[in-house]
Amino acid sequence: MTGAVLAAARVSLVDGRLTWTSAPPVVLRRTGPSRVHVVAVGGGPLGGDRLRLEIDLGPGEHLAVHSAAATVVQPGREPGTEASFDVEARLAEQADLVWVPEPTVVCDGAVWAPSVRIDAAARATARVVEQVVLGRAGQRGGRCSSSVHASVEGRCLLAATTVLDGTDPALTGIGGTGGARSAGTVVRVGAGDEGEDGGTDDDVFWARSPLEGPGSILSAVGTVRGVARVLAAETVPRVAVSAG
Amino acid sequence: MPAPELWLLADSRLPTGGHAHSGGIESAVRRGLVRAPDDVAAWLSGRVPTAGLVTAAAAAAACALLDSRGDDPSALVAREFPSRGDGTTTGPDWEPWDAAISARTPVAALREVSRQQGRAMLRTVRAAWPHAAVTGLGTRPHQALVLGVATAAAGGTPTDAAGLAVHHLVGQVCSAAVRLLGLDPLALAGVHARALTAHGPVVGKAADAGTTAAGAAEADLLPTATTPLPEVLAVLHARSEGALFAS
Repeated sequence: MTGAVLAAARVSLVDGRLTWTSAPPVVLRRTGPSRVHVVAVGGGPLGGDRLRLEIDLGPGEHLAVHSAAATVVQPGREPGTEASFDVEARLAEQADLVWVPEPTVVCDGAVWAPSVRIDAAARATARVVEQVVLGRAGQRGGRCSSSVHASVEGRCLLAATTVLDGTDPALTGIGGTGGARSAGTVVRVGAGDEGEDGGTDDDVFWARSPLEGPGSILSAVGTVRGVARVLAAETVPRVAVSAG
Repeated sequence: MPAPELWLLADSRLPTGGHAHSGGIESAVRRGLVRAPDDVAAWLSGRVPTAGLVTAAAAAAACALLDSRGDDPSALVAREFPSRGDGTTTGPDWEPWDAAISARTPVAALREVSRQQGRAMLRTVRAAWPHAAVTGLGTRPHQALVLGVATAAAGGTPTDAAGLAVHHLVGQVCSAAVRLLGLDPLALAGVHARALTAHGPVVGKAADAGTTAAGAAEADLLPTATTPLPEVLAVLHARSEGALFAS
């Protein structure tokens, strides 16, 4: 694993004071009063890279974290070596986090194992919007196991690892993605009023379900554009997605 | 030779309501996504090593929490479960395990299905194994927990519990496919047998994961794998009308 990157960046917003520490290639830029962008510096991530972002929000604080561009995961020197990006957020009472990175493209031969962990105190809320694309144009795509773990007041609300692999017939088959090139989720933590819904279009299947506790998950699987459309609609509350 | 009572737990005629469920395949059939025996095998290949693994590991953990000899109160006392004075024991605290299964079942309709089947199985278990350590499971436990407790009561091991969970998932999908598509039962028997062979390692993996989680008393260690399309289809199924199977 020579040349692999180990980097842990941090951002915290406490008592109205935003502080951050970049750790290249995870570079943070303040882009608004309560907004931060993750700016990828250099190529990658590559196999073996272990990236990390810790987020701390104090009571009642609101922070939106975006990324400046799509993440393109490449296999690196040793194809099959896993790369990861772990986002860990601790939310104090009534804090609100929005984590909306641009889509992640998992190239042929890459192994991507990102995770998001949200530990929310009472009445804290979070919205996490993620989209994975299997391969660049003309590729089948590599392997991705994307984990999300959310707890509210110490009680586990959601623990799921979505497994995708563009070269595995079982996972590209009907019991996996059904041949779709992209999958995405919108996870809401702490805000429990999102009811069950779902629909199909020519290019996407999607469904939203309440969790057992305050929160919901929307899943979409389809074309890159179809999934992006459903996720965008879900990001603006109360706007119906056209359902076929 | 497994304990004879385990055959009863494996029997689809045991009244637990399993016949009312398709293991999710009806939703795929109704959308034309599953048509032939090969499609059924493909569905199982995506589902058994992911969602099937999670359920099987939870069942194995429940069995392991009671020791492999859950019918022996002294074994429970030895594992420091509180005794209730009348010689019975209160058993483990199921709440974290119940919550862990719910957190791993993001689709509300599937949580409801799991609890309905758990309640139905609980009634059967109370009648068949009065000594089963069902205390504290509540009235609507997840099915995987009841299956694990029943396996322990029947003298089975965590591996047996995991095997039974996989067996029931595969059986549900295959028999539902025959009914929904009018497929040749012989062809589906072949799919069924090959799936059990192909996914045999899932049973061992689930048993290991469940036993490890139970040994550490840490429900958070249970596996979390899932695949996207079946989860979406499960919600669409719950919202549809005129379905033959409840899930």
